[in-house]
Amino acid sequence: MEEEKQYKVLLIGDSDVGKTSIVKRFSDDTFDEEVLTTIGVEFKMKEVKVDGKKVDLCIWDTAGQEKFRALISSYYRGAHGIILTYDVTKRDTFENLNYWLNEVENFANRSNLVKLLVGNKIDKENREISREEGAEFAKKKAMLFIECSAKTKIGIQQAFEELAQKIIESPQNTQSSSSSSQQRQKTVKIEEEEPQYQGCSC
Amino acid sequence: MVRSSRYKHQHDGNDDFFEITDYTQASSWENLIARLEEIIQSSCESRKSSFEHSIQYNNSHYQLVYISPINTSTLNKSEISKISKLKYNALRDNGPNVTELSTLLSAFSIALHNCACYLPAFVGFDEKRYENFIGYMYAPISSKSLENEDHFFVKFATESIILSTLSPNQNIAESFEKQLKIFYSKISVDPDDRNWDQFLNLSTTSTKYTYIKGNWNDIDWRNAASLSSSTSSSVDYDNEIFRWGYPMDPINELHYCVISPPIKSTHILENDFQSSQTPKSWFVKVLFRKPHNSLFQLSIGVINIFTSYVESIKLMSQYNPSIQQILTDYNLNKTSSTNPSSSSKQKYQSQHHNKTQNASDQNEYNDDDNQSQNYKGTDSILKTMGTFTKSLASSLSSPLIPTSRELEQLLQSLFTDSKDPSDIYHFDNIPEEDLNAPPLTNKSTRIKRAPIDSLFFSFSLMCLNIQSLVGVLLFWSEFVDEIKWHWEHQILIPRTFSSSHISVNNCLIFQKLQMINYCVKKRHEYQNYQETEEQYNSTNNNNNNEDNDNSNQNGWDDEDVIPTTPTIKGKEEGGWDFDEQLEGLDDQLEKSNLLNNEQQEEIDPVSNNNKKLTGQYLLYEDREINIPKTQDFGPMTDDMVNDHLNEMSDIEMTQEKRLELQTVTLLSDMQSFKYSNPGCVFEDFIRWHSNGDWITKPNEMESINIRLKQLKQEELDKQKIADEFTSDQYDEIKPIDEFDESKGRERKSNYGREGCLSLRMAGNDTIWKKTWAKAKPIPISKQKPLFDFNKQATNAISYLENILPSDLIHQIMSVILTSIATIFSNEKNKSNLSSEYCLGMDFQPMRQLVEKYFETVNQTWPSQIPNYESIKSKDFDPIFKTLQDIENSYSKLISLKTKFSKLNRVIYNLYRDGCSDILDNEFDSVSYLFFNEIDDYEYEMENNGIPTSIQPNVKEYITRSYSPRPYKTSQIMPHKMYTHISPYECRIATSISEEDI
Repeated sequence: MEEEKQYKVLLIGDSDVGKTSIVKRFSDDTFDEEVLTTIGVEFKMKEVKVDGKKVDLCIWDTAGQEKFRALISSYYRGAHGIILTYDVTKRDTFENLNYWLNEVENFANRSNLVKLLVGNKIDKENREISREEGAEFAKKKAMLFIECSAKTKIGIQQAFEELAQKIIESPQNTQSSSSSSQQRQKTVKIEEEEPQYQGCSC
Repeated sequence: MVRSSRYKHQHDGNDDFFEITDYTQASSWENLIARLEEIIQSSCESRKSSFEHSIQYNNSHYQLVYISPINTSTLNKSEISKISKLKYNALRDNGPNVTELSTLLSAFSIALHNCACYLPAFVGFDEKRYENFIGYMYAPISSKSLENEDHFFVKFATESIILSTLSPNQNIAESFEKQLKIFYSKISVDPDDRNWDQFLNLSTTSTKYTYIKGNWNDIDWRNAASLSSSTSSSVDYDNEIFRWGYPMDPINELHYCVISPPIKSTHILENDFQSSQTPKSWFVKVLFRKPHNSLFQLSIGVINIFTSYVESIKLMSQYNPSIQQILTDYNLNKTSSTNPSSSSKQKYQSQHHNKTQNASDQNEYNDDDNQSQNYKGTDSILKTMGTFTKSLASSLSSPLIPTSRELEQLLQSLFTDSKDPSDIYHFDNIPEEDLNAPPLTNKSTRIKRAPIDSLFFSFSLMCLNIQSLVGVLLFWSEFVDEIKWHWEHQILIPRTFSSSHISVNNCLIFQKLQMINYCVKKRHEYQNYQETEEQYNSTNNNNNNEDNDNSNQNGWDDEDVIPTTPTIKGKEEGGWDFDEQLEGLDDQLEKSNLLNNEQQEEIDPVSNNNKKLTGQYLLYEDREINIPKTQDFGPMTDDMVNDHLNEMSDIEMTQEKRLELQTVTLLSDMQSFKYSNPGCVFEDFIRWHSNGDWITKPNEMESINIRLKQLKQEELDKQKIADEFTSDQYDEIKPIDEFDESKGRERKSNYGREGCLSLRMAGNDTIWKKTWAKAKPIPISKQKPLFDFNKQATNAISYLENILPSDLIHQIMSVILTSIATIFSNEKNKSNLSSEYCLGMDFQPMRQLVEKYFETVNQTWPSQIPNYESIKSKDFDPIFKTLQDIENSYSKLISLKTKFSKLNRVIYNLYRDGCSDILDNEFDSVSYLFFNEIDDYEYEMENNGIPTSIQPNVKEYITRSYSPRPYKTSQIMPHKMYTHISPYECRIATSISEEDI
């Protein structure tokens, strides 16, 4: 495979819904109750396997505070996938999703953007948003949906893999990189699967 | 004669050609022509009612008869009508065969042509040999004879259905019968008198009159646009922002036809055409002009720009010159060409600026008047510069390189607001989202654009009128000079956003212009701060000299970051009278607020005018939390975003470095917060800035408390272990650990004060707390600006100045291509845009066309400048082709709408099929369209039908019958014969078909 591919993924959602924890769990397989409140954006690279191919995800973890909105608005550009996150134990983080969707509408510039809705902290007991409610909302807004827990690992890997899968499936991304070449592309070759990576994925 | 000798006649008989083999001697056929010419000439001159000549040809004698049924002596000029007949008589028993007749007819045609005689000739027929009638003859048309009043209405014998025009030697029955007999002879396998009666019973004849209207006004046809909007009945053609569609009416002729009786109905042999009892069917036909590439004015302009585009890319690949270089190569030294005009230009602009500021000032009225005259002048120069002249090849009139005067006028119209600032369609009054909306709502595009009616949009469209790359570049360099002038004089660039929200969908040039505008705005704000602050300081100094010390104490100075502890200590020293002093300050501020304008509040840290976090009180003070004015991070244009993302995603970069880069805004916010909320603590800041980290639920608070205690214990345990090894190091860390801002004050309760920091915020060595400790109370006016407007504006201008020609034209082209889609899809009543940008129509075929065009553009137009080698002009043809389709169809539809206004059914039928039937309720308006030029139209129309004074342009008789074909025993099939008579032509055609319509 000569084609070089790298996909940009952006995590957004209210403050303290666990965006950074999700990324930490996915990229480093660690969990920290007192993870630092993100300032602006944080950046991580991580490889996932899709259909036996390795694909690089550039993950941009953003701050949820409204004050950072102007700062992070530019990071939407060129994003292939967007993960909208909410906290299943806090209804207001769910209700704010409309605000975030509006931001996506305003700042993301890709037509074939893939959106994934993630309900985090399902390990907690005091759930306020049912799985059904989340799924229904995702369906209404044409998003993928998954529930997860950064603490217990449930759903994390699956979320990113599913997102990567969908991104690759959407037509313009696979055909040519002409439209995306304007974006910064630290190109990494998609390699045929190598045995030593097997089983290493968390 | 030699001329005609090469004439080959092809007839409908069995033989293919009548061949001339010997060119040296005149053949008998040529002799015949010569003889015929003589006869025709003499008959034309004498115009005698009837005379006979005998001609010999091919061993047969023919008799030629010229018949005029109307006595020439009684002929007056008002009713010039004649029946002319050159009658051929043959021997009864031995008539000429078809081939011979054809030869004769061709001889006639040539003879008539040579004599410039436009009278048609009919070849009569032997009663028994109707099949010998050859139906096609035409009189050569000479324009000269048309100009003379010698214009003939030709009448066919059957026309005598109208009794009043019947001449003595004609009768209705005979006329019809003759026509029918021709038909009969054509379609019958075995002409036989016994079948004749049966044939007659089955036959019907309809009369069809056609009224033709052409010669339309070449300008009026576009006026349909005004029909839908009730406010402006006459749309000024000059208002058009670009030329598109046909330069003249795309409709060549309209035909208004009436058939009586309708073909579908049964026929009564002797009918009265004028009688209202006879059923009539009316319909309209439209004949459009033949489309040609040179007729589509917009496409021509777009192709011109595209040619410039390719040229610019070619230049890039050769030696990569700058715009300035190219202009110098062409001897277009910018400074020298603008010098004469620059002074007047600037004067004009300052005038314009004054005007906008004093729009309501009555004294300026005269000035305004002058200006509006200026606009008119501009329009006219645009027109001559533009593509619209009478000439079809419109682009021929566009200049290669505009003169300095033309440039000046272009610029003037660009930078002048032609619309009233209060107009709801003024650019500034339309919401940005609407202007940024994608061209077609259901389709996204990656092609960058510029908002409709924005300055760069107008610039791009004006470029359509400039035919050369150099011309565009010259125009651009003048344009950039104007932009620089605006920045230097701190005047907002007209019709360009100034908000901080830069849309990714707009092209970089527009983004840069917006950036400059934003900088102008920021510079204004900054200067206002400075001024009000000076004012404020001076009032303070007059009233209370101690204030100076106080403000200094509170960190109003601009020194570098003072270590945390001293600041806190300084505040502590202030002690109790700190509050009192502030209250005193409050009073003074209120006074000065009354005197000064609202901007005062920027300076005023704790004024009541500030926005508050309602119901949320500072933990240690009796005031609501003030929401501070914070610095804007500033907008970023595409290139800045790219640089920024590159920087941020550098894998080498450590997390700390990245954090450091981003804490600048946090620090600024903290400083502002501290300034607006004296006595505040970190928790207060979090309550405003990151509300989610302020835990108010009792059970959660408890669990955090427990967890914190655990952590503290762990810490202490660690410390104990550590102490055993190195005891001195911990002395330095301790002060940070003792992060206490209460300074002995007692924490108050209620009013949102119940709660605690979330676990992640509670830590003492987080970057948040570190930054908080660093932050001094400083108003945004004194802070290090996050956004350097001077630098950004200079950058933006330098971008505009140094843009590569190919980049420039690429953006111009992108804007043009996308704007076209917007303009042609926008419907007037559904859009917020000004009407001249709404050419869209609620008409399915049109929408499909625009969608197809837009798809083509999206697929074909590159998002980046391609290499010269990889450009194949052919690849772009689909864009121009679909654009031409749009122009063609829109022109047609607009023209139809202009003519038929609200008869949508008719318009749709005409557009789709080229013809439409007319219903009773539509009859009046259509008739008016055709006959409104007649003086006593109203009176004449009372007869229900067509005005009697108007002769139809074409008369047609349609005879239908049923007959078995091809054999006597075959099935009986319907057949039709058309007899078509126009002033210049008479045709008879039969059709054998199974269709009965």
